[in-house]
Amino acid sequence: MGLLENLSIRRKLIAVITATSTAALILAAIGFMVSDAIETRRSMVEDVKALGGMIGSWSSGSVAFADPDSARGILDALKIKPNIITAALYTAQGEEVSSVTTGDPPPPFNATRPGPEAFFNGNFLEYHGPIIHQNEVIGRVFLRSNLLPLAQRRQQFAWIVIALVAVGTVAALLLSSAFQRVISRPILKLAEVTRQVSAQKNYNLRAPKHGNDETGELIDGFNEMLNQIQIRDAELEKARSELEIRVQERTKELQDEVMERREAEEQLRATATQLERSNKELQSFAYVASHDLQEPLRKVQAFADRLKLKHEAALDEEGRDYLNRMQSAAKRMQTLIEDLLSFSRVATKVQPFELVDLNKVARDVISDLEVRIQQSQGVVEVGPLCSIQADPTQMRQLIQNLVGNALKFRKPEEPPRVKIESRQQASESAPSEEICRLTITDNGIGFDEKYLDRIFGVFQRLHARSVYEGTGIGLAICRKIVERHGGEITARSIPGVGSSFIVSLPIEQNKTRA
Amino acid sequence: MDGMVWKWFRGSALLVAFAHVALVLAHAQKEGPSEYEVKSAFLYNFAKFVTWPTNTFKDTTAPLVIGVLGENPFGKQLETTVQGRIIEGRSIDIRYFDTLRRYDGSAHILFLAGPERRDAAEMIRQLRGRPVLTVGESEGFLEAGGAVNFHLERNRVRFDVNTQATDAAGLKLSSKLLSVAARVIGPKP
Repeated sequence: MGLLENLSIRRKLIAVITATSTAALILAAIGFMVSDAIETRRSMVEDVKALGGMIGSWSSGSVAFADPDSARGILDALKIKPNIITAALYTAQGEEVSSVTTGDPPPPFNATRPGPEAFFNGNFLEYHGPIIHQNEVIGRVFLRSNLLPLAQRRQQFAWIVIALVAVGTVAALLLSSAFQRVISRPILKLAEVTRQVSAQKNYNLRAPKHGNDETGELIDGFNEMLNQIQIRDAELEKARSELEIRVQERTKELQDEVMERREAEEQLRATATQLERSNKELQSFAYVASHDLQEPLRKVQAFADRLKLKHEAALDEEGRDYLNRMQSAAKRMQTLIEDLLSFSRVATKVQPFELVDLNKVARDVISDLEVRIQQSQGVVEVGPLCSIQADPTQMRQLIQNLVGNALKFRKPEEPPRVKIESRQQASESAPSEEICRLTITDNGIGFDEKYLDRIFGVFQRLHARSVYEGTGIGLAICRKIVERHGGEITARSIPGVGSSFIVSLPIEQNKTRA
Repeated sequence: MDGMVWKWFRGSALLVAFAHVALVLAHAQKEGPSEYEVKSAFLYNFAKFVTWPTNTFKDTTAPLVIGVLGENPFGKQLETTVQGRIIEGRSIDIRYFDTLRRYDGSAHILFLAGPERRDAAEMIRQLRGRPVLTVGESEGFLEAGGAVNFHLERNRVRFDVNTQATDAAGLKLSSKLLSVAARVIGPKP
């Protein structure tokens, strides 16, 4: 079957039908040949029996009277049967009366020879028959026939078979070429449509159906498949166009959003730039102003001091009071200017970050403030503190301001207790970063938390200057320092109980922030 | 088979046949059957190839009688030949008659032994018109009105037939018998 695999179905069908027909024809021919051979042999046996019987009957007189002349006349009549090559007549006693032969002489008579009257002996058919007259065996006939008729008939038959098979094969070839279309045409048409569909991607094509056989089912299935593909294609196309519309819409929305955001950003950037500029201007203004303000102030103070030293006696009580007030105001102004300068220096006079041990900073601050602590009989506790990367001066400024505030806003009847603690922990906003959470707690007057927004602003005061002195810049400086270090500052407080200022600072500084 | 082959076949067949005949004759001369063995067989065969009128027999099982007239030359050969033979339901009786006077008229075949022509003529005259196959072995037996006559032909027993005599006797002779006869006188069937 390997040979046939790549042939077209048409050729396959023709080949199969022709081969089958030819095989059937050959088998039938062989069957006929065999049957004919059997029949021919049988009829040869019958013929030789009839002939033997006839010869026996004719020659009964010749055999009875052992007359060779008349016997010879009868045997000579056998010349019309050319296949009989040997014939002999015997008396009942077994003596040969007469014989004719073209080949071997007749066998010696054997009266007791068993077996049938006629049988095939090698290349011959032999007949041994009795001559019966008046119910008495009076002699015997021997006939030997060659098998020429059998061979001739076989040869004749072979030619007929060859001719028949040749003609039959040609006929089968022609008929199968005609009939194979019944099977192959729908399949070929289906294959053609399949080729067109796959080449042109045209799913509108349909294979024509010819009948309700298996091929018909196949074609129905194929067409149904095309239907399904078309339906799915249409659905897909619909979904795709819908999707496209949706994408377009969404893109437009996004573009709008982006546009809006860009505008907002630009606006923000412009504002920020403007703000920064004005901030810088303000800072430089504040610095320059403060710096330049110091010079006339020093003169005011210097001449006030000199006035008091040289001319105090010349002044009356009222004059001395004025002079004292003037000196006090000048002193306050000096503090104000110094504070302003330090506030603006946070941004302008910067030192590079280095590793700062907050314990040392806290100790320095406490020793600076020792006088005030002792005066107020206060206690400052320092827990173990972190070491962080920071500006050491500003750290000192920060802690000093916060501890100073704690000492300053104490309850008049109670000595201040201040606690400085820190804890290292993960940042809430960026968990990979470690922060130092520094807490400075006091038992002072506290404040209402609704003012939390205000206390870190410049010149913001919650109390009259007469009650608590100060410029209202300290916490603003603190916030500025903390912000410069990328940290946060906030506070908790209960009025009359105490306050707690919480500073979160990164342990390590990103280089970009400096 | 064409003429040439047939001629060759016939030629060779003749040769072979002659050779056989010669052999058979040589055989006969040496140790083959004697003359009267053959003649007794022939007499018996005549009974088979001749049909008698039905009224010749008393009934359907009545024996067929072969008579020998004159001095018996067969010895016991005839009895040996017909021993146990049945022809168309009839057994065969052999009867011997010394002289014509002793003949009782019972024979269906009557063999006249010896070469005497006078005896033959007398017997034929007496049996004329009767259904008896007369058989002789003398010259002129047929001419005298006998039916069948034996003679020797190169030491071989042969016989001639006179159909006129058999017709007159009301006997039917088989054509096979006639075909074997050396000579047939009288009308041929």
